[in-house]
Amino acid sequence: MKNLLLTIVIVLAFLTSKATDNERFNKAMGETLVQLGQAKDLTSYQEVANKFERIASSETTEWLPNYYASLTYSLIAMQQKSGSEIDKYLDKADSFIEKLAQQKVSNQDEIEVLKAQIAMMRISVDGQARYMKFGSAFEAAIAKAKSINPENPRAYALKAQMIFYTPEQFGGGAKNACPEIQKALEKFANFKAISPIYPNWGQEQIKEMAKACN
Amino acid sequence: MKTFTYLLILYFLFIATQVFSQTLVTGKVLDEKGKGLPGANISLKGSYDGATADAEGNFKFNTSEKGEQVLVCTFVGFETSNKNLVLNQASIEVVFKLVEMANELNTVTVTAGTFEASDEKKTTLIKPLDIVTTAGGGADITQTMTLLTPGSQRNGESTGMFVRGGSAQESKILIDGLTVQNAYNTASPDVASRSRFAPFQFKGSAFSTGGYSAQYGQALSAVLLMNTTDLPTETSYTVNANLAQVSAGYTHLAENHSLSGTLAYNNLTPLFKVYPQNIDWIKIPEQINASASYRLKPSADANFKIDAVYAKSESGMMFTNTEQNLSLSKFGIKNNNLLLTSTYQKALDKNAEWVLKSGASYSYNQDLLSVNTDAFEKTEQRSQFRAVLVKSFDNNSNILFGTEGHVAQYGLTLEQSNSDKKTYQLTDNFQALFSESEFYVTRKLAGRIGIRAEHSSLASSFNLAPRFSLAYKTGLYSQVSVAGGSFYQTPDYQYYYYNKTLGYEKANHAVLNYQLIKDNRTFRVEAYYKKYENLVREYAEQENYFDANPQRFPNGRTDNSGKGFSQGIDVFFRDNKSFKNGQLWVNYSYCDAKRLSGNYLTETQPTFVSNHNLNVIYKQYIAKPMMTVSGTYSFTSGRPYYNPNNPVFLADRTPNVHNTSIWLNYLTNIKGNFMVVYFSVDNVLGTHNVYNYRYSADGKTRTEVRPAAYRTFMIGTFITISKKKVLPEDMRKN
Repeated sequence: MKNLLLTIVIVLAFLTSKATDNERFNKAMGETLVQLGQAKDLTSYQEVANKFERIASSETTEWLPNYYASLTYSLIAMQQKSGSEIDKYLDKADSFIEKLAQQKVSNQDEIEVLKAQIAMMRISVDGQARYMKFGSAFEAAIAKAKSINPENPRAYALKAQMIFYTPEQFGGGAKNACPEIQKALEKFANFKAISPIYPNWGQEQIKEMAKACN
Repeated sequence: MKTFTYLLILYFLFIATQVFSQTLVTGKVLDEKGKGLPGANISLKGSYDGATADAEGNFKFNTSEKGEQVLVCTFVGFETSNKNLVLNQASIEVVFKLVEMANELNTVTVTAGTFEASDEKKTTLIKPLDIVTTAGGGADITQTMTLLTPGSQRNGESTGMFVRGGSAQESKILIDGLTVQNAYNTASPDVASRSRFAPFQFKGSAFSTGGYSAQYGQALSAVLLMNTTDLPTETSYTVNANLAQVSAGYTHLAENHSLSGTLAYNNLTPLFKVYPQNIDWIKIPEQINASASYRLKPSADANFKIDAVYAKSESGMMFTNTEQNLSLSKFGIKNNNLLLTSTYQKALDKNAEWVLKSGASYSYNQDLLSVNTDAFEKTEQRSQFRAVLVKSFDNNSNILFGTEGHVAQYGLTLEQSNSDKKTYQLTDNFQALFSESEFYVTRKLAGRIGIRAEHSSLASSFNLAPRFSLAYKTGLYSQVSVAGGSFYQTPDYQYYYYNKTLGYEKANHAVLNYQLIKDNRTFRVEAYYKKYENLVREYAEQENYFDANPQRFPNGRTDNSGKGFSQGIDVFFRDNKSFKNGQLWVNYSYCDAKRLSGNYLTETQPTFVSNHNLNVIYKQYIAKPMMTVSGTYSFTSGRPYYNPNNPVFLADRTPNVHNTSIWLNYLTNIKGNFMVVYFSVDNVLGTHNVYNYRYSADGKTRTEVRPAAYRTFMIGTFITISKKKVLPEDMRKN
C-alpha cells in the first residue's frame, strides 16, 4: 500500500511537472490550433505564428509546427495590402518551407499544397510579371501533391481557387472551376485527418465557392 | 494514511518548489532607432517558453528552465538575435536591439549607367514583356530598348544602337556573357535592319549605357546583356503568323531537360502590298530561320544550355548610288548566318558560395553582296570561350575572376568588273582577364571596383582598363551613384586590311546618377562625360575630299590620331501609379558630341548624333476584352549631313524626325489554348521623315534618304497549344 501510494505520487508528480513529451507537444499544438481558429487580427495571428515557431524550435523532429508556422504566415500575408508587405511575410513562410525540406515529413503532399498556396499569393503581388514563374511553380506543386496523395482535398481546392479567379476567356471563372470544386468537395467528404493536429483546412472556402455553381 | 498525507505534502512541496523556482523573464524588443517592435517572438531555445512582444515591444514570461540558456528573438524582416542567459534568480530583464534585414528600401544598389529588364528583381525598371508590348518597338529587342531608355537612339537609315554620342560599332550585344558577332541582319544601303533575336528567347536583359562592368570589354560606349531562358515550364506547340512571317515550334519537356525547335519563314511580300514602299525592291526580302535549343538541369545548382540558330536570307533593291552620280544601281544580298552557343553554370559548394559560369560559342556569317555586276564576299567567323568564378559573401558582397578567349577570322573577296579579283584575310587572337568586386561598406554605401586586361593580336598590344562604381543611399527612396573607367576597343577590322599597325581606340567614361523610386514612380537623371582617344582617322588622297558613302571601303592611309568627346544628360521617368492599369514612360536625352574620326575633315558633331531625343510611351491594360494598347511618340532632332556646297564641314542639319506609333494586342483562347492577336501601325500620321541627303559628285543635285515606307502596318497572331493551359502574363493583372 505504501509502495503503491508512493508510486502513484511519484507518477503524478512526474506527470504534472513534466507531462510526456508527446502529450505536451499535442497539447501545445492543439491549443495553438484553437487559437489559430479564433485569430482575427494581425496581433493574434502573429501570436499564433510565434507559438508555432517556438514549438518548432524546440521539437526539431516534428514537421507540423514548421508547417503551421508557414501556413500562419501565409494567412498573415493574405491580410496585407502592399506588395512588399505580402512578400515580406511570404519570405518568412518560405523560411519554414526550407526547414521542412531538411526534415522527415510523413505527409509531403501537404507541404506541396502549402507551396502552391504561397506561389498563388506571390502571383497576387504582380500577376503580370510573376505569372510565368510562379504560375508554373503553382502547377508543379499541385501536380506533385496530387501524385503523392490523390485524395488530398486541399490540392483540388487550391486548383479550383486558381481557376475560379482566372478570367473566363482563358478557361477560368466560376463555371469552369465547378468540376474542380466538385472534386474538392468529394475529397473533403471522404477526408479524415490522421489526428486532430494534422492539416484539416480549406473546406469552408470551397463550400463558399461552390455556391456559385448552383 | 499518515504516510499518504506526508507524501501529499511532499508532493505539493515539490510542485511548489517548481512554481516558486520559476524565473520571470521581462524585457523589450527595439529596432535600431529604439522603437518598440510589436509582434517580435522571444523564445527560450529548446523549450516552448517564450512570448510575443506587445504594442510597445515589451514582453514577459515565466520559465522553469535553469542554468545557462539561450534567449532567441526573431521578427519578420529583421535579423535574428541571440542572447546567453543564466537563469538562477527570480527575474531577469533583457533588451533586444534588432537589425533590419537588407531589403530594397534600406539597401543601396549599384545602378549607374544600367537599365535592367528581368522578372526576378523587384526594382527592375523594364520587364521582358515590355519588349513585345511597346508601340514602335516592332517586337525587336534593340529597337524597344532604345525607346524605353534614354541615352540611346536609332537612326532610320543605319543599323544598330547609337549610345551617348557613340557610333553603332561602339555598342555590343552579349548573350549569356558571350559576344554576338553579327547581332543584326545584314543591311541594305540606307535601310536599318532588325536584330536577329526573337523577343521570347531571353528571360532578362541589362542595358548599360556607360561605366559598365569590367566583365565586359571591346565596346567604347555600351553593352546590352541578354540572358537566355531556363528550362521551359511545359511541353507545347507554338504557331505564329503575321504579314511578314510564319513560324512553328515545338518544345518537349522531360523531367530535368528539354528540347525545342522552331522553323520560321519570312517573306515581306504581303507587308509591302499593304502599304506603298519608297524602295524599289527587285527581290523582296526572304529568310528561312531554324533554331534549336537544349536545356539540362542535372541538379538544383547546375544548369546547361545549348542554342543553335541558322538563318539564310536574300534580298535585292535599286539604290541611289553616290558613286555613280546618284543613278539607281542594283544591290543584292545573300546571307548565311550560324550561331552556336553553350553555357554551363554550377555551384561549387553546398552553400553556393563559389559559382562557376562558363560558356563557349561559334559563329559564322557570310554575306554575298552584289552592286550591279560587282560582287563581294564577306565572311566572319568567331570562336570564343569564357569562364567566370564568383565568390559570394554573406553581406551581398562578392568577388569574381574571369577570362575570355576569342579567335576571329575575317575574309573579303572583291570581284569588280574594272579590276582583278582581290582577296583579304585577317585573324584576331584575343584574350582577356578580369576581376571585379562588388562590396557593401554599409547598407547605404556600396561600390564596385574592377580591372580588365586585354590582348588583341590585331592591335598587337595589351590594354589595362580599370572600372569603378559607387552608390550611396541618400534617403528612403533615393540614391546617388557615380561610375567611371576606361574602355578599349580594337578598331573596325576592315581598317586592318591595309594597316596592321593600328592600336586600340579608347574612351574614358564618367557618370553621375540620381534615382528616386517611390510609390510606383521612378525618376532617374544621369549626367555623363565621355572622352575619346586614339580613334582611327582615314586620310583621302585629295586634301579636303570627303566621301559621304557609309559603305566606302577604307583603303587609304589611316592612323590612331582621332579624338572626340560626348557629354549630356539623360532623364528617365516612369509612372505606374497615376493611371489605373496604365503605365507612362517619358525619357529625354540631351547629347553634345564632337569627334574627329573616320574620314572626317574636322572635329565636329558626327552624322549619327542628334542633340535631343524624346520618347513618350503609354500603355493601358484593359480587362474586358483582355487587351493591351500602347502608343509611342518619339522625337529626334536633326542630325548633321554632308553638303558639299557648304564650306563648313557637316554644318547642315536634317529635319527633325517625328514618329507616332500604336500597338494593340488582344488575348483570347481557342479551345483553351492561349492566343494573341496583335496589330500595330508605325508612323500613324505618315509623317514624311527624311533621314539624310545624298549629293551628286558635282554637288548640284541631291536625293533624300527616306524610310522604306512612310507608314507600316502589321497584323499577326501567336498561338500556344499545350495540354495545360498557358495563361498569358496579362491575365493575372487584376
